[in-house]
Amino acid sequence: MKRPLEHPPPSETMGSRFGVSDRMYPYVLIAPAMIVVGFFALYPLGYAVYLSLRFADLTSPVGIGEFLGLQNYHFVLDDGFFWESVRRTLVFSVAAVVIELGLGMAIALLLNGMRLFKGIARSLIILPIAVSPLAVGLIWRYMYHADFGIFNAIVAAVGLPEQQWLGDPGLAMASIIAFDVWQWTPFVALIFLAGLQSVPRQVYEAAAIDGASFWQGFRFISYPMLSRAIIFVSLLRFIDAIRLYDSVFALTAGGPGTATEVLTFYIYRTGIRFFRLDTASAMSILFLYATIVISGLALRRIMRQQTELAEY
Amino acid sequence: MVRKRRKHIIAFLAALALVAAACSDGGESTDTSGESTNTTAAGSTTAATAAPGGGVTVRWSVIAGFYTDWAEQVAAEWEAETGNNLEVVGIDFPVLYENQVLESVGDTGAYDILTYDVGWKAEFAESGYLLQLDDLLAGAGSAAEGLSDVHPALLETTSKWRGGTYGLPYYTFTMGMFYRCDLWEDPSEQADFEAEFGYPLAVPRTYEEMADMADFFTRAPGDTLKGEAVADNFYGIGLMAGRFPHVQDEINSIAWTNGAKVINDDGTPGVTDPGFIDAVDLYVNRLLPSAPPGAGTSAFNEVVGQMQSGLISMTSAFYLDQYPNMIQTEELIPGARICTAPSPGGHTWVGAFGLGISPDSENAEAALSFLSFLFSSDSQQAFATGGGSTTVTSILSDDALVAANPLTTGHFPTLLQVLDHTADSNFYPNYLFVPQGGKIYDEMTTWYSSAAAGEETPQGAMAKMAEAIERQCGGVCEIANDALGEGYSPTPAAFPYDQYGY
Repeated sequence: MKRPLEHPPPSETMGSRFGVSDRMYPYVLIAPAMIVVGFFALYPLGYAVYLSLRFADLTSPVGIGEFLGLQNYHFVLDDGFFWESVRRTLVFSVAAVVIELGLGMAIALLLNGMRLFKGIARSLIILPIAVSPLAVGLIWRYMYHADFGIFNAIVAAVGLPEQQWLGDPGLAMASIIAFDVWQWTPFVALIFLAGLQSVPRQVYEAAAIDGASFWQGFRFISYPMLSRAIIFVSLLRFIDAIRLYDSVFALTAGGPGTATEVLTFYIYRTGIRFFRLDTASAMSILFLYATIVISGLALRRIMRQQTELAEY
Repeated sequence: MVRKRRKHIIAFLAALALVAAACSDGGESTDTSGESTNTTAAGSTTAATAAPGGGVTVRWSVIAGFYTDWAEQVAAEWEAETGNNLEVVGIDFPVLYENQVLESVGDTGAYDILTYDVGWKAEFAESGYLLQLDDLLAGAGSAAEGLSDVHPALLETTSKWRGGTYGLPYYTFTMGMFYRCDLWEDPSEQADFEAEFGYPLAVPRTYEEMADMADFFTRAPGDTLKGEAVADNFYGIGLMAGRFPHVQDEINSIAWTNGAKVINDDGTPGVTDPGFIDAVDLYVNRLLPSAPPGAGTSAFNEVVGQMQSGLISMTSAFYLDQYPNMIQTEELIPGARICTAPSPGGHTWVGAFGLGISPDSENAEAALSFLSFLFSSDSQQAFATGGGSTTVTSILSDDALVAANPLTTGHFPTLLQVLDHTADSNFYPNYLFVPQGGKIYDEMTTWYSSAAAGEETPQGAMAKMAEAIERQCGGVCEIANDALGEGYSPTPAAFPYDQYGY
């Protein structure tokens, strides 16, 4: 049964205290932030759209030239390198997010069950998130080094063959995924831990009394309670993962060859190394469109769940 | 409550201390290009101090690292002499290109003096990012005398564009090769090599000989080296096969000795020609197997590390300016001796970092005054003895200077031989005279490393490189090398090894 929305009496509204109508008051409050967002986000976005519809090669005598319509978009969609970089980006994003979700859930369950040193453990796992991907990526680059790196030293010490972690086209992407998992799994684990800790302990105790196993407790209690958090974290991490750049720049610079040249790195090379702002802008707009569509589909599910919950 | 407040105060003070410590570092840019530091410039490294009042301020964009240390020292001396100010802006090499292009395209006048790589010269000059210096040089008179002492080979590659002078090379990374001459001179190694390959062990004159020697000196644990058993793997050659702007210098050096070219004389891509494919094939299938596993991700500093660690016996075509770092191997590895030689064949990567004046500069004459000071005999001597790879002929050929400074100038004789041979043969790669040369050079990094990593076959990688050349040039490339004159040779001459006693 729907509850009626309650409004405070007009004489008590904040807007009326400052001589602004109740209807305008929210807009007045967010106006300063929106001005900043507009200047630093909407203006560059609009300019990118503008460039994507024109000829724009900064190093040519013309510079920003004639209107081309959708030609740049046609060029990008016909560009095999573009689709290859999209494929690499999706491979990285899906693999990294799936592993982070599984590992994060496992760590969250472990932490949730800990009796001793829980606070210390929670503090320590934050460390990877706290450092800059570029800075720690440079360290990992030397850790991965085939001749001098610690990973091969460990591998050799246990009698396994040494690997070219960043030099083998078949392994380089997996190495970057491993780095990303190391850095962002703690974030996922903390979100899940917060969700697990919001479940009343009595629910688990009641299930245990009824003879439920650990797996049944997870499947029928924890997982349903965490479903929204799982979708939220998946979306957040996926959007972050497809924007991958720092790790690639630090670890492989897109190599070996083109094995780790993800979409953002291809856009960087096209726009900043070759100064083809027209095709780089077109790629960026297509990238933004794809991100909005994916986010919208995921958010729709969350909003539908929220609405069902509110109605209940 | 009191305890909680005390904790907040302590946390705040700790944060304040961290911020204060961070700010006290002075905000110097860090070098993320992975370059190893040469021995410091002569004298102490001091920050540039402002000249006492007056004068103009000249801003110089320079590669962060050793280059900045020396630059700041010279800046202080020039400021004291002229009363002008020199602001040295250190920029990491991986982003130097786009940083300067963006400032130039925007006509911001952010820098008075630009630093450019030889591969960018054509693009910078053609696009108007560099001021033509001939009139300024003519008007400078005797003050610019030092500038005329720059080696002619480096002037052609790094300074000249369509007959005009657009910059001056100040730091050369011209290539030769480094090798462990203690291994080459060991009687047992010599005997074993000749028995296996049928010719004497000596400085390789061709890349096939280099491949033989690399294969010969690759040893497994338990094998002997100079009569002693080795405990770990030892490799015949160090290569810069990673996705960095070095792999193309190695492979192009091989291609040029095959008579192949990146861009043919008619402006079409030459990378798919048989001679070029053979060069890539030799690199991938004969040299790489004798290199350490880390070659696939190595830049030049990793190869230096490999030599210093006693992991390799020689380099391929390599930057001679790394001599001050390479020579440290003699202290680190007992019994090791490092020698230099020209890289095999007829031609290698001959170039330098150049200094040019921005047309947006409001202080062009002051900037030229600084360049003249930089190229004075005293400044160049200090630069050279401090470990800098000078471009000045009289210093490169100063035997007394070399004898007195063996740790920093020992490579000068080899460097001078390579430069003299380049000037004599009058061959220069076409892509140094193509306006899109900088971008083509960048594409090489991608596709050459793709071949080296095995992601593509040599043929496949070069096919994509050819597409990239055509895409960057918009079809056939225009080669603006008319100013090289009738003496220009379309192919490199063979290096006169016997003349130099190799």
